[in-house]
Amino acid sequence: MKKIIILFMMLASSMSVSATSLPMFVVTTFEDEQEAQFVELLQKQEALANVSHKSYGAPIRLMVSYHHEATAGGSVASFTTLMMSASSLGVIPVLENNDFVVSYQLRVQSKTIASFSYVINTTDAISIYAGRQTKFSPKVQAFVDSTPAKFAADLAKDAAFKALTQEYEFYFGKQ
Amino acid sequence: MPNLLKLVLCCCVFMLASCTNLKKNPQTLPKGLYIDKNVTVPNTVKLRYYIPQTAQEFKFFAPWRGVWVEPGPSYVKGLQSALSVRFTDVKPLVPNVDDDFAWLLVLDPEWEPENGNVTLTVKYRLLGIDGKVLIKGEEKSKASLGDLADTAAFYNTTVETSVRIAVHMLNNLQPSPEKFGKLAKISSLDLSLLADMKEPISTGTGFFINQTGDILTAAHVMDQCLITKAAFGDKEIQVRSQFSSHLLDVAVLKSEFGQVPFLPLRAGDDILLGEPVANVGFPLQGVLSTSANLTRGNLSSATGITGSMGHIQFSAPIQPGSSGGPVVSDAGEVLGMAVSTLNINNLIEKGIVPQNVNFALNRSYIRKFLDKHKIAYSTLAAGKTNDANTANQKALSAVVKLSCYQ
Repeated sequence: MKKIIILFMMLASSMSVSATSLPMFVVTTFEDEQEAQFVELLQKQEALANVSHKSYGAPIRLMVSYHHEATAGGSVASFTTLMMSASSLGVIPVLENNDFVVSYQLRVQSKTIASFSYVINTTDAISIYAGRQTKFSPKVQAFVDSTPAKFAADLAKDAAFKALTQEYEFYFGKQ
Repeated sequence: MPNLLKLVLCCCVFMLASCTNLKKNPQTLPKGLYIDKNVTVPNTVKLRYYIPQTAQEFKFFAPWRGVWVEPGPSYVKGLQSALSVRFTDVKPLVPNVDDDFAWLLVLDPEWEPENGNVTLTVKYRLLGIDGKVLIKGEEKSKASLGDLADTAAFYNTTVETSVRIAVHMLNNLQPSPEKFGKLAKISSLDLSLLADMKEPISTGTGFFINQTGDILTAAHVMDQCLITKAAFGDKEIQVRSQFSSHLLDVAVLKSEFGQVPFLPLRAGDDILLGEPVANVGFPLQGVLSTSANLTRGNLSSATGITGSMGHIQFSAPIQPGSSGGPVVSDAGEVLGMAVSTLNINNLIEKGIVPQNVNFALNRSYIRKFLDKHKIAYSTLAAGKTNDANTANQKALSAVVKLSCYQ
């Protein structure tokens, strides 16, 4: 009987955790318009429904950033195609192969409590006259848009986030 | 012709970029470096390493590229990669965790950017189980930064310096289970051997909340401390964190100061806007006097900045170092604890110069936190005695200066 009560209490506690959406201030390194769309995607996740890029004073902060990471094979391919591109006066594009990484960092005040990164390998054909592109390719954009759901799923399993949710409930939950 | 020039320039940029974003293999030894044939690699000596928290977390935002540049996290990754190739049991040191070591490597990395390059300088000391220095030295490595968005310069300089340090330790000490098999507990380690005790990296304020010497402060004051010292009167002692909440930004420290003056919290949850308050703290240490500073103002709002939780706003001026100081009424009751101020830089960029907008954690949440952790405190009903001078003296007598060392 005691075991059943403990099990029920554990289930009740895990249910209350998933039902709470913590208020968070979100900052991203995406361009303004992209950021607005991205925040909407975050807000569609139940656990992230209360993220906002206007809650400047919120102690819980979500920082989302992206970067490219060179791969060894990609650098060789890039160098080879660069030579070919140069010899064809730029008619042949340069092929770049990189890992595109989206990183999520969840902080409480200045302390990082959870961080997750999602990676996709991309190959792009770039004209050497085009300069640096800030817009994502459709493949990368689709990947970026898929990360909020992955992040929400990872967060739901994270012990530190569960503890934070319970602490939030204790201090600020409905009495 | 201009197109051809552009093409050549593009080639140069691409070639440079492809060199600066490639990560070094941590297994490869730099030219001219070798490991003595008598040394077993990977070696079984139990190695733990310590990097100051500020160095581990050092990163900055490069707005011109829209990316975070992370020298600190790159250092942590590169170091672990380089050492784990040469040692079978190597991990970062976590204070107060049940672990032991044979060698303890204390590292102090510093980055210096110059003309598109970065130079990493790492000062290091290797301690044995008795805390004595076995080896110490300094390694430097320089690399071209290239494009900050995908630079491998921070990782590569880390790998190079870490490999050199590892090889130096292995060749000079030739570790074997017979020579370095004995282990020491990390919990019994004197942490002052690791920290730079010459100067604190930051200071803050705390105040006694009961006679036995428990100190209340803001959690962020303690965030990066390996060692925290509390100064009260002419005595300075080491204190340790008992409980903390980063969500509320509050912590309780256990101290050995006994029979101390303390401040009561005001009973009830009412907030009287306009009520005169005093804030006591130790701001701008090294610039202002070492004695406590007292400033006066009013309770300006029952809430804080948009999105904040459990804050009240007050107008008594605060400075860096004031965090954790009590906000007291003229009757000497604690109404809150100073935690933050408006980010003036951001507002000045928008043409706004804010004045006296500071925030404290509301006493209701302090009480809730103390109740949760069963920490003794006393309460006083509002407005029994109103004598600002007496209340100020009472607040001044109960504050402590906190110094944080790494």
